[in-house]
Amino acid sequence: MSTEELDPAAAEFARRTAALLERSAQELPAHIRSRLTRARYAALEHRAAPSAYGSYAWRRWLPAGAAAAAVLAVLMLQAPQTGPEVAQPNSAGEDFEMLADSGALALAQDQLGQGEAVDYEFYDWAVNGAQDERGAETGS
Amino acid sequence: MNSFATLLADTVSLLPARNLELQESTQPQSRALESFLAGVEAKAFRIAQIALRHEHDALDAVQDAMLRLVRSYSNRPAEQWRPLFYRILENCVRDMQRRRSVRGRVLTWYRRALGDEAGEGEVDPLEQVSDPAPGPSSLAQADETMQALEAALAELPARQRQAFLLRNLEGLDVAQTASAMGCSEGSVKTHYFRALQALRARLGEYWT
Repeated sequence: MSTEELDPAAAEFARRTAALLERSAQELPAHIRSRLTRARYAALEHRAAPSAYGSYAWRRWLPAGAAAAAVLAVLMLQAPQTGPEVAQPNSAGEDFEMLADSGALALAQDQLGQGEAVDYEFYDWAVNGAQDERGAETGS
Repeated sequence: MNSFATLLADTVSLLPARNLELQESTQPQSRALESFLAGVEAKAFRIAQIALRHEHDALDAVQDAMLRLVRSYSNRPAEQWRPLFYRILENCVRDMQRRRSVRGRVLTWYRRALGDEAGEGEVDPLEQVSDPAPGPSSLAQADETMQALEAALAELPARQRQAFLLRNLEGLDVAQTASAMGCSEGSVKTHYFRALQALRARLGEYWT
């Protein structure tokens, strides 16, 4: 029911009460206004966190997940570079070759003592076998 | 592998910006919410104060209503906030009145028991209700007409008072008032008309 639907006296009464109530709301004492302001700020501080992200709360974990993925990616990228250096297929053979050329195997036999036999055949096979394999790979 | 790493690095570098973008997108709504609350708080206080006849209770009711609106309905479209807020406020006022009533009954029973032991007479239950006297704000408004209007409004049935204040003080239209009161528009018109009749009958002398 709008004021237009009321009789003139009732409409005037409604208008006057509205003006009076409006003024009373506008002229609230300072301490009430202060309390209302504090109440407003307190309420706004409690604004639900999910509202900032809607129903996508999982997005808050994206940075952590992305950081973990980045670390994993770095490890994956580094692995192929360090791996071959550690496990060269002919590195053991080259080591034995170097030892054989320098006479270190004979020296090692002396150091091992009489009771501990050295399996020269094995080392010979290992060195020559490694050379044969390398020659086959390079075509020499 | 390198292209994957580049893509991942780009994605990670964009994430903070994306978060910032999300936060910034909520700021206008926060400002709108603050603006809305700032716009309704004075009238809401007056509505609660007239219903409760107690300054501190009215402040508590308004604060509670603000909190509930922000927590539960801030994601709703802004045009829904006003009727929602006043509906929440009315519930807060009703809760406070109910608590007062219970507290008054308990205190009455307790004092009566003590009074019987001490040989004192019965205690007026009305004395246990929160101070109905005008608070400082009402005294500051020392306006006979206003006080008469407040007293008359306080005597109205709750639904009539609510309809009258929402229409006359807050300026809600019939549809918004119906939404705020959780009733039909026809009921709003009836409550409002009856409130107007009762107030005119009571306050006639102040308005001639």
